[in-house]
Amino acid sequence: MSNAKGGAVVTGAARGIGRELALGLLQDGFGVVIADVDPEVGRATVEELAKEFGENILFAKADVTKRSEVAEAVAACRKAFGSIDVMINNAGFNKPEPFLKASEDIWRAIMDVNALGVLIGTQEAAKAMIEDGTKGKIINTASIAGRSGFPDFAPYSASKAAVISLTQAGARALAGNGITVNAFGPGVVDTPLWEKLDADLLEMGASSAPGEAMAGLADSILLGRVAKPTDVLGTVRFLWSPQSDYMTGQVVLIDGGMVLQ
Amino acid sequence: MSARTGILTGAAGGIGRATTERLVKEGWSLVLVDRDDSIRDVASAVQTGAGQKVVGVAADITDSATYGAIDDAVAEIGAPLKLLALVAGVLQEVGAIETLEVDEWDRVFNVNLRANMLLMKHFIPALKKADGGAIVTVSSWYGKSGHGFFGAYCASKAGLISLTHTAADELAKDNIRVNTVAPGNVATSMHLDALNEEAAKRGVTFEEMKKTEWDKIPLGRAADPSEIADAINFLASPDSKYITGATIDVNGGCLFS
Repeated sequence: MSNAKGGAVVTGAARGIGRELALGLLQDGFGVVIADVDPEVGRATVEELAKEFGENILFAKADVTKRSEVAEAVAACRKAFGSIDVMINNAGFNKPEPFLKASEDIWRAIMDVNALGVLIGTQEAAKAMIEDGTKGKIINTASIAGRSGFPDFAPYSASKAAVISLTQAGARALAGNGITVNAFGPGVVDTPLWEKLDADLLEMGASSAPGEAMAGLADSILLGRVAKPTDVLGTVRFLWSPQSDYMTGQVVLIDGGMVLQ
Repeated sequence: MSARTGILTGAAGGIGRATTERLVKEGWSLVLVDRDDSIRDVASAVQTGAGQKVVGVAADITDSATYGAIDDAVAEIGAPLKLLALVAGVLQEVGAIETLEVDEWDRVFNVNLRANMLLMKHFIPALKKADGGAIVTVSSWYGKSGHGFFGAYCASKAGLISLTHTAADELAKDNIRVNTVAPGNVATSMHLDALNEEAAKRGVTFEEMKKTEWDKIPLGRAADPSEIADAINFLASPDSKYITGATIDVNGGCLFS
């Protein structure tokens, strides 16, 4: 079977930004593999989206730190939709700790998923694209934290700076194959990741009421509000469309005006 | 989408023409601004849809006394002003700082930086009156890094990026987003002329100069003007509604920042 528009894999797409991007790809006619470490929510998401998009969506259980599972998700995409044209390395998580207490365990866990996961995802997608002769688009989820370190989430900031470096290295490595690699950097987005972060910061004593940490960050946003996942979709859609064919190695910040660069 | 007007400077140039085509396709009515009277012919040759108007105005953007004609054209179109696409720019006479004429520095800064400030100053009230919109400037990867023999050009484009940030900060509360597109090499006559000039300066052929420059680009080629127009259109569209103060680098990978 093949799909007119081709196939896409989105990691961490069971919920949040990843789910929104999967929906956008489906609306644009791509076949989509939702690759997520959480089979329960992942399958529920697929079931929900399949009501409208039928066989154009499927689930692959993938822990992005495990190469074989990522390779299987890519293989599932090629098998179902004929090719992998878009790879979105989106899976990531955060666990805040005060800077002086940031621990080795959290550092390793965050770097494994957020940074190594992007390296593995880029490699596995690119190998398939090169084999098929697909001029594909690899898109990585970075963050404003990759541009500006935040004291209560040092490992997360470092991991997202790593995502930016991997985007640049991948762009140079793959330009000759006609594959572009770009990243987008959300600011504060109203997603489960940020809800959990808000709760964690409250527990840590970095804020004194639910929603306070998130609202405090929102105060520094020029557009005066935190983002919704749909605010991110337009930019990522630009990055997977032919309109961005001359962009590679770049990071587009979607932060409502936080880091002006 | 309802009727809306944009002002596009540098409209007779390569990027300007491609941007006109792209924005008209998206339903914009446009005031095309350029120095030469021939801009009126450029405007009248544009194919428009129902209810769309494209008007050409010859104006010197470095002289705000000539902006009245642009105001008149916006009024003639009649739809609210929702976009300033500031594409106009000039290259400098290639040369080292030691030999750079101050007049040349001033000419480059007048067009690339001062005129954009004057245009923003003049048209921001109309954007506010329209309950918001977008300003898109066209800077350059040379504004994000310095390059020998382009002292005035690089500094003027760096200044434009900074002006873009300041405007984004000032205007967010008015729902006016301000962003910049930073192209790398674009296959326009401006780029090809510059390659010719630099080739002469270095005593090499045009083809050698082009190869030297294009080999530095990971994607191995200059951009088509339409690829810059796509990014300008993105920043003018609701797809970028949460983006302000940002730079979209459309440079084929020649600079990562």
